[in-house]
Amino acid sequence: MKKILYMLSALAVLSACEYEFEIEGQMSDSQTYVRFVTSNVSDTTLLFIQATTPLKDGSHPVVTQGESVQVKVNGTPIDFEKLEDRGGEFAGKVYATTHRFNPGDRLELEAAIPGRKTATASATVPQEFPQPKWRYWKDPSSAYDSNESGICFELEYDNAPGSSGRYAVAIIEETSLQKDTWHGDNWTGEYGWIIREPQVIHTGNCSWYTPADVTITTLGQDPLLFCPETFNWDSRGSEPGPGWHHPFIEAMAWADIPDKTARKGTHQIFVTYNADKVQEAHPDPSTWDPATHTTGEGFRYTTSYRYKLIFYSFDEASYNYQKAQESDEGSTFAGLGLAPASLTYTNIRDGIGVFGAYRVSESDWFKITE
Amino acid sequence: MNTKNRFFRSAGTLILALILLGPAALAQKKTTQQQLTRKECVEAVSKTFNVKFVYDASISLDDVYTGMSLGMVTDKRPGAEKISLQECLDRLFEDSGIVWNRKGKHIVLKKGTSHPVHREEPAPELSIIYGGGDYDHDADTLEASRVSTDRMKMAVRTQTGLTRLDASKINSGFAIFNSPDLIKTIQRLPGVSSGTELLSGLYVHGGTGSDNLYLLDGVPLYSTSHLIGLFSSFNSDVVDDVDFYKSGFPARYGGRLSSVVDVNTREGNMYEWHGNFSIGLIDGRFQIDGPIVKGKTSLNFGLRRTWLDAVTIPGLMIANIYAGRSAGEKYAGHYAFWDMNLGLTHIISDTDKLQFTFFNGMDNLRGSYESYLSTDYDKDTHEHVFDFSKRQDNTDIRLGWGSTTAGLTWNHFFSDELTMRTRLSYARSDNKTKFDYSEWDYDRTKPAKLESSYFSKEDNRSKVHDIILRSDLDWIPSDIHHVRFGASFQHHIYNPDRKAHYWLENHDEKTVLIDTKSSQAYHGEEAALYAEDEISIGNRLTLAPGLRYSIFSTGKKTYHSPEPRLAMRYDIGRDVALKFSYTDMRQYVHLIQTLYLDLPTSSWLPCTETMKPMHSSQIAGGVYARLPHDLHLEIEGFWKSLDHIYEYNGPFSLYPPIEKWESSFSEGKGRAYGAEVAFGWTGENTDIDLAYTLSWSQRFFPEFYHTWYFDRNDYRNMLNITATHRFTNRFEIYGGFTFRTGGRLTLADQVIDPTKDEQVAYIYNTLFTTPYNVRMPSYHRLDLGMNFKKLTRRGNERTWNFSIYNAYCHLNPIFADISRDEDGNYKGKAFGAIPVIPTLSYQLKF
Repeated sequence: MKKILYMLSALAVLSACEYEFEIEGQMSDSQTYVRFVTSNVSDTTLLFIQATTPLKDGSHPVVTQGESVQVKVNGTPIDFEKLEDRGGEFAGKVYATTHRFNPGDRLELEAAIPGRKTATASATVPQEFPQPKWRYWKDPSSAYDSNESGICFELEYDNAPGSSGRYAVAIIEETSLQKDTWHGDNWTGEYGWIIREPQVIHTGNCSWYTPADVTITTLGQDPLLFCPETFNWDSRGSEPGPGWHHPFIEAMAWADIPDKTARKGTHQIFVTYNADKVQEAHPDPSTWDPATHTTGEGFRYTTSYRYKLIFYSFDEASYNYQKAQESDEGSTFAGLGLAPASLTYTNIRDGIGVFGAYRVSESDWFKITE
Repeated sequence: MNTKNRFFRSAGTLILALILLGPAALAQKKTTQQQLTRKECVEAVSKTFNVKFVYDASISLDDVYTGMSLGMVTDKRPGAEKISLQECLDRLFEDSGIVWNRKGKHIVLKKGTSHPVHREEPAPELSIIYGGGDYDHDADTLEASRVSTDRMKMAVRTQTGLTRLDASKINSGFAIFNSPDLIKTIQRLPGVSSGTELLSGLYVHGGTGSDNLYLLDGVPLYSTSHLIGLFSSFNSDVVDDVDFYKSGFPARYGGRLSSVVDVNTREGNMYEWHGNFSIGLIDGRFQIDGPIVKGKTSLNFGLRRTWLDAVTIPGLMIANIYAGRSAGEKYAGHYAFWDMNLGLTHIISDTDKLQFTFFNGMDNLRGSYESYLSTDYDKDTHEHVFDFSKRQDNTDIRLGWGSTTAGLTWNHFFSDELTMRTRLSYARSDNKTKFDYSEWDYDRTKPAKLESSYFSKEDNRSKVHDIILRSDLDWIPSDIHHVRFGASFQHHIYNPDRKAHYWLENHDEKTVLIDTKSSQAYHGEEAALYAEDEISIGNRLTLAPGLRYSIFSTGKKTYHSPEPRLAMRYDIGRDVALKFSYTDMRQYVHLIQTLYLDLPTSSWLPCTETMKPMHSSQIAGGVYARLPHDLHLEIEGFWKSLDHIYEYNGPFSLYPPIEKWESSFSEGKGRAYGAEVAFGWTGENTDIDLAYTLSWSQRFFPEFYHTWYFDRNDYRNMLNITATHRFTNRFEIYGGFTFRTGGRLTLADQVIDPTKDEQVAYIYNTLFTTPYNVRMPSYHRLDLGMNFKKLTRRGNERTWNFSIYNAYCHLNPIFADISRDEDGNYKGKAFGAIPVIPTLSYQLKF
């Protein structure tokens, strides 16, 4: 990361000599954008449709009107309900269906906006990935640095059904930080979050002493963070005393299953958690007593973690869409023309967007024992 | 024995047979001296004795020289007669109507009165004869002296797309920071673009930039630039000539798709010591050549080095003293490059000559930063007090890259009709980067005690080793045939290596966090056989068919392929020729990089089972004419297809993933087509050249986009105009104007939520629908230069050069992106960084 920052700094210096140029005339016309990715996570699947606005007309948004959508499952159209325009976050039109999609279902899309070609796409709902046996062990370095820790997860699984899909596993960590203040005769508590950004360092053999056979096939280099808007302490609903308390913060790291076909075998994933920001949450780290977990001023902190493994079985479109989205996050150099650029993934004909499906199975929550 | 081993053993045997037996069967005719024009003899004298000829425009040297033998000057057999310069000149101009007069290293020619001077058809192969020097007393002659060039050659060579540059052409060009640059001279030729501002990239006919074959004395060179591409690795002081091919590749060349840059260094003078010394703003050069054993063994040595580090190191030390102490920080850094060329030539016998060449070029860049522990804070002055014995963190970055080549060549003359050259050579490329970071945590009670330390070290290296055995034979069995054939065998080792070591130290206890070592070693064997013949059919038609058969084996996979070549020329009258060529090329090595910048983070890796050899086919043709009034015109068209080319498709990373690199690259196709015009005029004191290219370059990568799209280096129009004018023998000027349509980059072109007016709306709600959809602003700049020359009393030539790069300071774009203004409109923003760069240098030739 530091290397990238150094290079970005160099680019920032160069950017002192910037000047504007005309981009109009080099942009494509408005297209039909569709996003529909169904899974077994929710009973409702949303379908977004919108006429895109060419950047050259950025100050004059294209209004989506008169659109129609149809999704067939195994040749039979399913019902959609049109929701109110959401505006704000998404200025297009939103449709919802509660149809239950089953593995093996063949889906077909037709989406039309007047004045444009009808956008079409197809997808097949993948089979679920069988939940494997798994075990874990901790990185011993965690004992020395609370800001860096690592956990190795080993998965053992039988053949996944089918071989046309893409398989991935996500490690989810929920964390909570409780700060209790001693008032002489009782504790009062307030709650915060430890922002630990997990990163899959590698998959393969994750012995951190001799990880010789390293295979870096991370699906996501950056974690997906479901974080509150601020990192402040939250006293809402606080209760004194240690234990599990919401709100938690979830952080997730993805890793591809090797060879993407999930043939029988074992598979190790090494996840590190960088918790730099936990220090920002401490009011005075210099008074922290690691022996008693209290500060000299009568505070004590309780940190709780729990984990879950989620196994994903994607069809090709939803996998590529996910991967392309994450690649875009690191495309600063590509956006400047200094590295190969990746396009927004699409499997929509005569349009743009994604039409796909994935299935999820997951473990129960568990705690890592020391 | 498996098939692969059998093949390579057979290839080795064949090379040996070519060396030992083939020539004997072909060497039938007795040695006879070839007939040369007097101009060709002058050129040979100039090269042999390192002198320059100055002569009046009315003097023609195009008659065939039929006088006494000039010995080793024109007879390349190692045992030929050795004669002095004076004897040579006496023989050459005897009864010619021309008188010569020597002034230092200049030979001034004048018309005599007793003999007529015949003006016949110009010889096809003119050489550059450079007039100059301090001859006030000969002013009447020098006013009319002329500079001849080789541009007329295009009309008489069979190949399309060939440009031959000799040393004086390269050295007469613009110099930035002291050094004339061979690659930048080539960048001005039609059909060639340079890519990023200032860098030494060559993008030829839609090529990728990594598909150019650079040969230095016949040995492939992987790393061809210094200072992140600002300088090329070719020291113009030692370069003799360069053959640059962009189409019509003869069968003797192979291994790259788009161009061949065949650089030959000069042999040392066998009789006199000469040299030159040059000093500029950031670098200096030194070259010397002469006899070790007169007439037998010679040496040519060139050295070039920058002294930027001599400026930056003390500069940063001073900055640390005055600014760093108050901030508790220390910076250090330096940059240096150097290259060294060594050539040894030894004449063994009348028929045998040995040559040893060596090249080493390296770049080293280092930067470091340290911060120190603040132990106190003065509230009144708001200043920290630092303990400079306690570091808080340290960052150290080191980059190094370079190449080494060495070659031993044996030249054997069987006869005037048959010669052989066999070379054993070694080439190495070495790219390395190191990133070290350390952090120390202290117990801040006074005095502060070290609690724990954190260290990370990353070491990346990518090396290539080539061992090459090659034999080439040149056979002229009759007046209508010129046959070349040969074989080569190369053993390649590609060795990318990456180490990461992260650890904690806590109260003398070390805990390793990460210790990864990723090392790959690919071995590849490459062999090739070729044969080509230049056949004259009647007076007007010349055909040059050729065939190269190449084979490459790595791991379990072996690729092999015929590569047919054809060139033809049809002369329409004396001054106009039509040409056509077809070439088929294979490239068995890929440059693996995640950035388009010329950084040592990239690796050369071979074809594998999944990564196929790149392939190109190209046809080119055109008309080449010498026009009245010393004008010349060349119009050439080309069409090229590229297959199995690869582009990185993974998430951004400074380094390509060497463990699974094959799955991180997508395969695609390319095609390029266009037309080029070269037009020029050569006056007595003025040269003007104009090169215009209209071209299209496209790519098709099914994983990226469903149809063909324009490539990043799709420069629609390119125009280069260069002019030199010599006012007097002491003063000449040079000007070069470059224009090209801007390159392309991929920017978002659709937005799905344009209602937000924050910049974030661009980042998160935009869609990238078309690759390389935006053109950057056009590139243009003007370079100017002037030379002030004078001969010293000792006959040495000294030159002051003053050059201005980008004279009107146009900040050409290096990169660009899109941002949104307050009104919701999206604007392209280009970023340029290279302003006007003045350069002053001094050169002394002795």
